[in-house]
This record gives sequence, structure tokens and C-alpha cells, in this order.
Amino acid sequence: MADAGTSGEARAEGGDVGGPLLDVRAVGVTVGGVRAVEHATLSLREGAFASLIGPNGAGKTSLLHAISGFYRPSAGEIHFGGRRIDGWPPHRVAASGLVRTFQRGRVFARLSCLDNMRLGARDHPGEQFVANLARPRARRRREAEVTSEARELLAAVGLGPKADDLAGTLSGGQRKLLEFARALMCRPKLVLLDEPMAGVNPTTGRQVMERIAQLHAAHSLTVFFVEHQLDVVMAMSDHVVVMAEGRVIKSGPPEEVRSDQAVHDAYLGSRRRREAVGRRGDEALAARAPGRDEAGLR
Amino acid sequence: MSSVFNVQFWAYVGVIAGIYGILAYSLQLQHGFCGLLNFGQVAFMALSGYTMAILVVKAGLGLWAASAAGLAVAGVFGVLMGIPTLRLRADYFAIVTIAVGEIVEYLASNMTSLTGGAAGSINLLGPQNAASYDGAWQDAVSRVQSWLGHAIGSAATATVATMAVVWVLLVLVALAVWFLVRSPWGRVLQAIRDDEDAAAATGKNVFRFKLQVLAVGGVIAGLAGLLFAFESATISPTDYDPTITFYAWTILVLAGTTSIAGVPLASVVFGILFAGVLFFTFPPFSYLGSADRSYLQLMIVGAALILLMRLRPQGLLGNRQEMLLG
Amino acid sequence: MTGLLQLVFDGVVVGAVLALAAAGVSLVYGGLRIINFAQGDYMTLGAYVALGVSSGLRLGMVAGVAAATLCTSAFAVVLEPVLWRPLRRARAGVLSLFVTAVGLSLVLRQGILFAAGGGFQQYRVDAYSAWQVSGLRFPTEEVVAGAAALAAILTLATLLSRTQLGKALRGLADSPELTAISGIDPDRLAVVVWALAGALAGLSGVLLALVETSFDTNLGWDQLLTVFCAVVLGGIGSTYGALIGGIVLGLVMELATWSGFAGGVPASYQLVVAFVALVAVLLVRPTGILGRSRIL
Ligand SMILES: Nc1ncnc2c1ncn2[C@@H]1O[C@H](COP(=O)(O)OP(=O)(O)OP(=O)(O)O)[C@@H](O)[C@H]1O
Ligand SMILES: [Mg+2]
Repeated sequence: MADAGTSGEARAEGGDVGGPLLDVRAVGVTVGGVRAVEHATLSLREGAFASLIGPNGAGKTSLLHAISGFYRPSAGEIHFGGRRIDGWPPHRVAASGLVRTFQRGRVFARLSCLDNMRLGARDHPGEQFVANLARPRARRRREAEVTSEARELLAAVGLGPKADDLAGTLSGGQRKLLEFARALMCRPKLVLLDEPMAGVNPTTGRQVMERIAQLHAAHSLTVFFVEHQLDVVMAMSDHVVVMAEGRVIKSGPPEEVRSDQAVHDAYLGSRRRREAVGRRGDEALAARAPGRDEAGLR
Repeated sequence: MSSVFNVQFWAYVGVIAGIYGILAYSLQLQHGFCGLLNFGQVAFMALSGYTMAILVVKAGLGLWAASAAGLAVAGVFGVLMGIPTLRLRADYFAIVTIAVGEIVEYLASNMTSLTGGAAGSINLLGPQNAASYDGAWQDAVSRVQSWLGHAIGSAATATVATMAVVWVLLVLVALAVWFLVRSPWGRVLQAIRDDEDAAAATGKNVFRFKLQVLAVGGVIAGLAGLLFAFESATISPTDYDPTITFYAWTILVLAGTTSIAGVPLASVVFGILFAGVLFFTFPPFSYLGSADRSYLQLMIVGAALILLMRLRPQGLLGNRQEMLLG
Repeated sequence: MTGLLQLVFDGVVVGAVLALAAAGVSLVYGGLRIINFAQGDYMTLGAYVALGVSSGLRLGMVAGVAAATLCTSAFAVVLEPVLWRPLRRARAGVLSLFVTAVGLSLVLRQGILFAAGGGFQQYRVDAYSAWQVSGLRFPTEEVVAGAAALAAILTLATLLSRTQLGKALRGLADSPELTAISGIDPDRLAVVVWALAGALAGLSGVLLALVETSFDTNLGWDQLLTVFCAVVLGGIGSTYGALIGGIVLGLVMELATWSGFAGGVPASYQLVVAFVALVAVLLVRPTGILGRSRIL
């Protein structure tokens, strides 16, 4: 259970040498005519345990969609491990070691939990049409490997007894756990987690976060998670990015973020927020208003 | 019109039901296990049937080589159709495939110099020269017939032998589908069916898997198309009418979209239902003319479809609980 | 040149008539997620109702058109509680709904055949009356049908853009889940959708029969492919898109036969042209002309 990737150790030594692992430069995202993210810039060093916070509708999920390839950014560049990844399809981003989970916990409902987990594995010859038929031994060997790994990870998130149940029968919180465990199956370099604790009971939620922290420590897994519970965020992460109204308004270590006035304002009423954003020289807010109304009509 | 107890008649129904069953398997692989709604599957039947007939008649190829070419063409067409359409949303894909089914029939009727036009494959060598392609098939069937003759005596007619061949092929197709679906490759297909975005998020190239399943399904449908061609000795565009796709869908839905064992059962039920209407020779149906009775036959098929969806949307062997999981 | 203008005229008339049926398909799909495979047969139903009223009852063509629109609409509305509502209650998926529509299409088409018989029919109108303007020929019934179709298109567009109901209908196409939370009664909405779709199909059917001068029970069925192409071309679920898609497709199909266009495509290949046009548009714009792209 402790060993989710031996290659992780090797990577750890190379950490912190090159540039940042993830580099988001001036990215804009437009969703259904709404500019959900504007000019977002942030970077994560390898091995970071970073969080992304911001009020509802700040654009956190949209930014995650853009990083993971589901939305094509309307502006800016995204670099991961030194390669430019914006414009890549999602499966290519995932295969390059950047895996994400979804806010509402998306699992393969009509497959067993174990199958869900196996699907997370990389480099399975059985998933290639020709190799599946032509190399039965390789397929079986990898399948056995993948299965034992899957069982270990399932047990680690407390879903061991559910291995043979259909994932569609899981509760919302269990789905999020399953999805998270599935993301780990491919031994990612970076995981983007969209509210891993939301909908999970507080105790389990904390256990999940602890589990994530363990993996992070053991294998230099880089973690970037969206979370609304500020106490958890401040206690666990070493780097906090704050978004409001589609923009990154602050990023830095938790102490610094905690004492930032603009961040406080972003979490308060709209009048204060407008002033705060205005202070930062952001007049784009007014220009965005009509776009939102349009979205409201639809 | 045959009697209810005519073995030959029911053997013929068995041949047709078996062919539709094979077609239903191609849909099962694509829809039941990969979520694609393909309503133009008949196009693949037509392509392989016509490719085979044209190669035998015009290029002088042997029947089996030409058949292999027919299957290959059907598979390649799956990829060709997939490239522009698979990037579409699922509902666009469904509607475009309806059009694909109709267009292929339409082309077969209009490209007379290539396909023999509306008159069909018999016209491939021009009007005076009736073309035929299925000599090798007939030989194979009569060999099977003589084997069967040892077992069941005079009941082993050519039609019964054909039925045996078709159903053996159906079982082979079922085994292939079963193998593919429970392999890791098939697991990815099912993941795509359940949640395409999540499948992409786990690094699966959804587009490529869908192209593959269109090609494999195309080959299976192509096999059904070949059998259709062999069995009827000459093919014309109307033999590959788009409604055939819907009959196969009926069988699939009757079976339960993910029930592999359900397909043969549903094929039999469908065959009995479809042919059974012919025996409505009792009042009040006996007062109707034969044309009216054939209209009524299709009306009853339609009504049966509606009732089925209403009463048992999960099919005969499907699992309703599982169907509703989301 | 006159040849080209003639084709433009023909294309607009046919296109406008098909656009009506396509708008019906689009409304039903957008609102209810039903791919209405029976739309073509609803059109045929309209044409035969008009035949019964105008020729059978000798009430004239205007009454025939009105009756076709109303009766088809009523028929579609009646089927809602009988056929579709129970399926909706049972959370039927796209496939179950589609298969039901296929069944309905079979029942309808064969039912019309059963009731009206095979063979070709004609309305009691003067098929030869036409206006001649500088070498162009405008057959009376085509002019009337085209004008009626365009008027109906304008009415529908106004309804969709100006009224509360229209806005609700358009909103639906983008996110059907919205109805559940927006407080609109789904059963009432379904009735409205079917009433509109039925009326559009019936009207489109009788106008198409007028334009084609003679028709049989395959009238609408034969046009189903074109109607679906128009829907996809315009963008599924976008009713404006379907209207535009119908007219564009009508024009493309007629203009393709123009001799100045690579000698002109044979008329028997018009459907293929429609299909090629569709695939070409989808390659460039995978969501059709007005369709929206997928949002996670
Ligand atoms: N499908 C959509 N259509 C239109 N606008 C959208 C859509 N999805 C998101 N938006 C808009 O984009 C903006 C950012 O949304 P996003 O989901 O990224 O916020 P978030 O920060 O993840 O919020 P939350 O904390 O509630 O999850 C919001 O203003 C929202 O209205
Ligand atoms: Mg979010």
C-alpha cells in the first residue's frame, strides 16, 4: 500500500532543479460565451502541495479544465514538465503524467470499482487492439500487475470491500474516493483535484487529505487541489493560489495569503469586492458584466 | 404462402433471423459496449455485399477472396465514416448515421455502371448477361448439406444447411464479441460508454477507440451483408434497405443492449413475430387483401416495438437496475 | 442566367417547406430528447388530411391546409400522454425514445397506406397555372406554398424570440436539465412542443405535396433524410438553425443541378449533394451552423 510507485523516488532526486513543473501563463478561458478565466498566471514547482481557492464561480474548475486539456484556452500558454501542453487533447495531457479529478466525482457507473481502477493504469498492452489479440501473455502479465495494484489502492481509500460492486452503486463521497484512487493508478507527476473533500464525510475527507499528503511526501507527487475549507487549505498546503472573478488575485505561502486584504475582500460582499478588484487596477470587471447577463438568459 | 408447419419456411426464417442477429451483434459492440448510436449499419452490409459481388463478377476474383475484400472495405469504411462524424456530439453522430445508411442505398441504385443500378447485381455484366457470384457458396452449402444428411436424413435441405452455417457463424461472432468485451480493450470501450470525459481524463484516446469499434462493428455487419448476398443469389439496393438496421436494433433492444446471450434468443423471437404475422389468415384478417395484410404486418411490427419500449425497455435478458445507473 | 434564377426560386420554396419540418424535429429533440423518426410520416399525414378535406369533402385547398396543420398537431398532442409521457416517467433513454419513434413511424406509414391505399394522389388545383416573368416560370402552387412557408417561418421565429414560452423552448435545447429546476411543468411543456412540432409537420407536408404536385404515402418518409440533414446542418436543437439549414439545403440541392456548376449534377444525385454539403459543414463546424459546442 505504501508503494504507489518506485519510479517516484528517482524523480524526487531530480526535483527542484529545472524550471517549474506546471507553468500557466496569462491563460484565458471562455465557456459558452462567458469569460470564466482571464489572464491567469501561476506556476508550481515540482513537489509542491498547492491549493487553489476562491469564491463560487471564481473560475477554479474552468482553469482546471483548461490545464487538463478539456477546454482550449482562448489566450495564454500552459507548460508542463518543460513542454507546452495547451491545445493537447485531454488524453495526451493525462498520458504525460498530469491527471485530474472532477468536481462531481465521475466514475464508470456500469463497471465494477476494480475495473474502474484498472482503467487508470498506463501502458496496458491489452488496451491496444492488436496487442490485445497478438500478445496474450503480455496482456495477462500486465493485467495481474494492474489488478494487485488496484486492490491495494482501493483498500487504501477504504473501498476494498466494494471492489466487485458496480461503481454506479457508490455514494457521492465514495465516487470521489474511487476517482481519486483511479487517478493515482497511472503514477502521475501532478494531480489536479477538484474539491476532493466536498461531499465526503469530514473524517473520511481528512483521511483522504492525509493519504494525499503521504503520497506527496513519499513520491514527490505534486498536488494542486481546489478546496473551500480554508482551515484545511491553510494547514496543509505550502502554496496557495487565490482566484476571484476569473483572475488570480494572489498566490504565495499560506501566511502571506491569509493576511492579504484583497483576499479577504474577495470572500466578502460584492461592494467590497468591487472596490478591492478596482484597487488592483482591474476595470475589466465592468466589461464582463454584460457577458454574464447573456449567460443568465440562456 | 406456406403452412405454419412447413420446415422449409421456418428454416428460411431462421436464416434471415440469424443474419439479423449477426448484424445486431455489430450494434451491440458499438452501442451496448461503447455507447455509439449507429443507425446506418445497413451501409456496411451493402458495401461488403456489393464489393464481393463486383469483384467476383467483374474482376473474376474467387468468392472467398472477394468476400475478404468485402469485409475489409466495410472495416475501412467504418474508419472513413468515423473521421468526420465521431468528433460530433453523440446526437449529431446518431442522426448523421441515419443519413449514411440511406446514402449508400441511394448510391447503389444510381451508380449503374458500377453496381448494376436498381436492377441489382444480376445486371453487373449488362442487361443481356445475367451475372452470378455465388457458385462457391452453393458448393460449400451442399457439402454441409451432405454432412447434415448423415445426421438428420432428408430434412437436411439446402435451406436447412444454410441456416446451420449462418447460426454457426452467429455463435462465432458471439464468442468474438464476448472475448473482446471482457478484454482490457473492451473495458476501455465500456468506460467510454459510461463517461467519455472521465475516460479521456484517464488517458484513453476516445477517438481512436471509437474508430476501432466502428471498424470492427463494420466488419461484423459486413459479414451479415455477405451472408445476405450469398443467400439471395442476386442483390439489389432494396435488399439493403435502411429499415434493416432498425430490425437489428429491435433485436438488440429485445435482447438487452449488453446481453450477449440475449441476442440469439431475441433473433428467434423476432423471426417468429415477423414471419408469424403472415399466418394471420383467420378472421378478421382473412377478409383483407394481401396488400392490406402486408401493411398490417409492418404496423404490427411497429406496435410491437412501441409496446416493448413501454413494457420492457431493458429487453428480455437485460437488467433494468443496471440500465439506470448513471 | 434565367436558369440560375429559376433554380434559386425553386430552392427557396423547397427549402422553406423543409425548414418547417426541420424546425419541428429540432423543437422535439431540443425539448424532449426524442429523435422524431416519425416526423416524415407526420408530414404525410398532413398531406392526406388535406386531401380528404379539400378533395373528399370539397372544402377547398385553404380549408385543407388549415385542417392538415390542426389535425396533425392534434394527433401529435394526443400521443404525448399516451405514448411519450409514460416513457418520460420511466426515465427512458435516447435509444428507447428513438426506437419508439421508429415504431410509431412504421405504424403511421402503414396505417396511412391501409386507410388511403397506395398509388399517387393529386389535389384539385390547376397544376398548370403559372406566372411567367421574363423567361422565369412561377407555378401558382409553388408561389403560394413558398409564401405560406415563409410566413410560417417568420411567425415561428417571432414566437421564439419574443414570447416567454419561445425563450424557454430555446433555453431547453442547451440544457434540458434546466427545465427540472426552472419550475416549468415538463408535461405542459411537452404538450406545447408536440403541438408546435405536429403543426409544423402537417403544414410542411401539405405544402410539400403542393410543390411536388403528386404524392403518395412515402411523401414525408422520402424527405426524412433531407429534413434530418437540415437539422444537423443548422445545429441540433437550435430551431433557428433548423430554419436556416432547411433553406440552405434547399438552395444547395437545386443549385447543384445548374449547368454552370460543372455541367450540373444529375437531379437523381440531389440527395447525395445534400449529404456532401452536410459533411462539409460538419468538418468545418462540428456543431452545425448555429449549434453550440459541448460544455462540461
Ligand atoms: N457551462 C457553463 N455555461 C456558462 N457559463 C459557465 C459554465 N460553466 C461555468 N460557467 C461560468 O464560468 C465561471 C466560472 O465557473 P467555474 O465552474 O470555473 O467556477 P468555480 O470557481 O469552479 O466555482 P465553484 O467553487 O462553485 O465550483 C462562472 O461565472 C460560471 O457562471
Ligand atoms: Mg468548481
